[in-house]
Amino acid sequence: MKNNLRVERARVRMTQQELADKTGVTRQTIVAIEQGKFNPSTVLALKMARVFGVTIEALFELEDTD
Amino acid sequence: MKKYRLLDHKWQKIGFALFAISVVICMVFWEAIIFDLFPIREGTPIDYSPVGHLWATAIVFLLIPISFVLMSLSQEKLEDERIVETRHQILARIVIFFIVLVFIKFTVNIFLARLLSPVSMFLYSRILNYSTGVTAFIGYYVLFFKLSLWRQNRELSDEE
Repeated sequence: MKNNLRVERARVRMTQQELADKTGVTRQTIVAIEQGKFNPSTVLALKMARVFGVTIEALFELEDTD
Repeated sequence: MKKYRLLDHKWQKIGFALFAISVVICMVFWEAIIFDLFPIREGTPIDYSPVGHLWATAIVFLLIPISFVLMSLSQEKLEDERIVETRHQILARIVIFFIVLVFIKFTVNIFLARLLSPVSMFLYSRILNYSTGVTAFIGYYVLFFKLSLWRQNRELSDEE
């Protein structure tokens, strides 16, 4: 699964720690998601979308291999 | 969202403190404890009864399981879904590892035990009994879980 988390974070000038605090996870979890090493749950994905004010589809997209 | 009911993080610290106390007791009375665990004199096992004659061994055998249980059942400082997933993965691997260990134990019992000398058999059976017990199972879980978290945090801490 591809994600635009890093791009969205850069857009609103938010650090990983700030995003982690807003979504209730550790900074390492944010890094893992950005690197594609961990797929978030629906709840966490929705929380992230809400933080950035975008839809889930704008943050995450399925790849052909998924 | 459905959450796990684990003990508060402070219990992990208490568990770690109890484990540290057991390690100190082991270091101070190591010779007596080893003799209590493997009572062999002049090449002959002198006692086949369960261990715990020595107060230090009894305390260690009580403290270590309690500390392992506290460490395994208490949550991390911030227990998020990545950590919960890591718990599941480690638990699944430990179950497989444990099944293999128990399989080895029985295989060796059946095919190799008669080839061993009485002392080797005694040592082997005690070591296998300790390493395939419930305490060992929880201990493997705590060890591998902590190692996995440490490795993940190291790999995922560089970026910003």
